[in-house]
Amino acid sequence: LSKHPERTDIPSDLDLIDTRLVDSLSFIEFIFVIEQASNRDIDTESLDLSQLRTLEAIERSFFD
Amino acid sequence: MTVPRVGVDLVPLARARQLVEPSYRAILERMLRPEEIDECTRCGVLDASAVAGRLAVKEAVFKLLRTREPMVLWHGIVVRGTPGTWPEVHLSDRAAELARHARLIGPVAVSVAHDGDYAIGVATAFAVHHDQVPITTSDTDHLREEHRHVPVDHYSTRGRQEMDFVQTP
Repeated sequence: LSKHPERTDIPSDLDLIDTRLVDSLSFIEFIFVIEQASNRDIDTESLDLSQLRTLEAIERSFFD
Repeated sequence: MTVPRVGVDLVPLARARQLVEPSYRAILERMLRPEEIDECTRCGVLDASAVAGRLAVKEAVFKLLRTREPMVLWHGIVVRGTPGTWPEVHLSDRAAELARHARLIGPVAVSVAHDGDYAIGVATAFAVHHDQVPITTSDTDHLREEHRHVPVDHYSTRGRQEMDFVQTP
């Protein structure tokens, strides 16, 4: 949210990529932050984009 | 028959300024190879403008690949060049594979410009036009043959003559 001050919240089912909340330039940082928070390495070569599209998908994929 | 392809991208310097901060070093290193970071360093300081230009060129080249890959192949698209020289692009690994899949032939030519708060990268290449020309026609066979056997380094931009293709008005 700090990167998008125009927003007050991010619904858990909002598509972060289609809405460009995460764009190509911030995608690496996005993955990096998820890795740090989940304490897991993410293999970008085999990455399934659907795992990152929404907050609920991220939670399901990396924090369960 | 070949068709030209163009990719373009714009990077705000504000984004690059963040990336050159020490706390972002690990992220920058996922986007630029060590030799690229060295070339963006001026008098021991990472230059945000140079970083922005390099990222813009990488994204422009990525657009030539017309892929649905989720992420720019930052390390597979290598942009080399020091101040006063023409930037050159080398594709490797997955990026080179995608270039073959996209039927790009010959070199990828690039150019970069900086002004104010932005850097712009432009990339051009030729591709075999597979929609309109049957791939078995004789005039494309040599292109396909060349394309099939083209080494990864062939996608590099080499020499002034190729760069003049981009730079000459």
